[in-house]
Amino acid sequence: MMSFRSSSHEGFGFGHAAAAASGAPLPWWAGPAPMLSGEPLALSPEAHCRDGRIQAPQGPPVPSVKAPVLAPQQPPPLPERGIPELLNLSVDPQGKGKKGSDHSATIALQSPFAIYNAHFELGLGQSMISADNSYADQHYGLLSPYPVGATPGGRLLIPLNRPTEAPIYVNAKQYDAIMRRRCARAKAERENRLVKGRKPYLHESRHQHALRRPRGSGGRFLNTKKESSGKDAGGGSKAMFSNPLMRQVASPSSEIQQSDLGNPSSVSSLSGSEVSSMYDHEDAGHCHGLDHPFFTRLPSIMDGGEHGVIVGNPFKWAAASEVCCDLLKA
Amino acid sequence: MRRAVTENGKIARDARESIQECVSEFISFITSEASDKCVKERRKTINDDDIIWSLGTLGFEEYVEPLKIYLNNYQEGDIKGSKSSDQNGKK
Repeated sequence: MMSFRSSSHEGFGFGHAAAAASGAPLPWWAGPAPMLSGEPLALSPEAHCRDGRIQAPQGPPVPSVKAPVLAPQQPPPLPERGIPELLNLSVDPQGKGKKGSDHSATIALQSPFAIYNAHFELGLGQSMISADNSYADQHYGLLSPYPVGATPGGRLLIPLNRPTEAPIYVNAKQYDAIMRRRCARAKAERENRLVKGRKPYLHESRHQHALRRPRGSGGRFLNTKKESSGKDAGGGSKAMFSNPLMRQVASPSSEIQQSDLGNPSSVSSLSGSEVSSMYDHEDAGHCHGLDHPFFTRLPSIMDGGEHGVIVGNPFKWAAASEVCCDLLKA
Repeated sequence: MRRAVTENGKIARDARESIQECVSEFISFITSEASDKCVKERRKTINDDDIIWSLGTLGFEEYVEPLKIYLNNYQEGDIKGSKSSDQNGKK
């Protein structure tokens, strides 16, 4: 039993690897285009979402849930990029067809930027190994409902039958959450609540002030570097304190998760610690300049915004409530 | 992102935007799971335990222990944050 299960899992893994290596060929991509256009016309997205939710406990919701998520997802990436986005879109239908244990596939499903899977795979290597070991049984069990689901949906069989293509497996734990997120994203898309292209600044006057400030080589502000020796020592000690905290966290995503945790408790201390941790690698003067004078924090915020290093911080500093709204909307 | 790149390294704008979208999606992913738990328990506020629980539920067990340590250190730092704010008030 164990050997059989492990061998089947390895076989599917090879298929996934082959698909990743070969990528999505153009002739295969040409095929699903009419299918994608046909599905939305057949039924409304709401009905599809409802059908998916109703059928969730049985197991066949896979084919019905495909259409509503694909329809809203297709328009946004097309104008942004050309061929890479199309190739990424072609991979999506397969991912919905089956479910298993593979974190890299999970990342591919969550966002259309498949190119950056390697970055996340490095961070999630250990979890992927542990997931494979602990959920081999669930993986084998989850395969059984798929044939039942495939029978009513005739269109789903066409892309899966091709030997060059392979389905994308996701973590069994995350399957329900992924489906829920797709419905939520489709709903937000229909209500036009998605925030597209944030404003680089919130206040015109502060933006103008930042533009007028003198800058040195590399675009950094000049005045913040002038500090006394005593203040520098204080900033250095804070930087040393923040370093061990950062090392304990494996990836930047968990770091941002930490910032999300901090929001309800105390915004001011969160922003202070975050800015100190952000600036310790750049310049101790910057970090120290933020501490003593309260009003000099604002130009430093603009400094971060202009450089593009800390995209979210200016908004957090300027308006805490708006930051919360942005996080909830996103 | 600069912490993961060498001092002379640069990060393209498209890369920054892509990472931003991936991170936002990850945050929504975790938050929706925690929100569902709060709905089941008829609570209105998502607290730190809910977030850590949702990470464990979604298969990110490796993050639970580091985040607990991080949370403890952050709560200790909260006191220092308030002290610094008092100092700013005095000045």
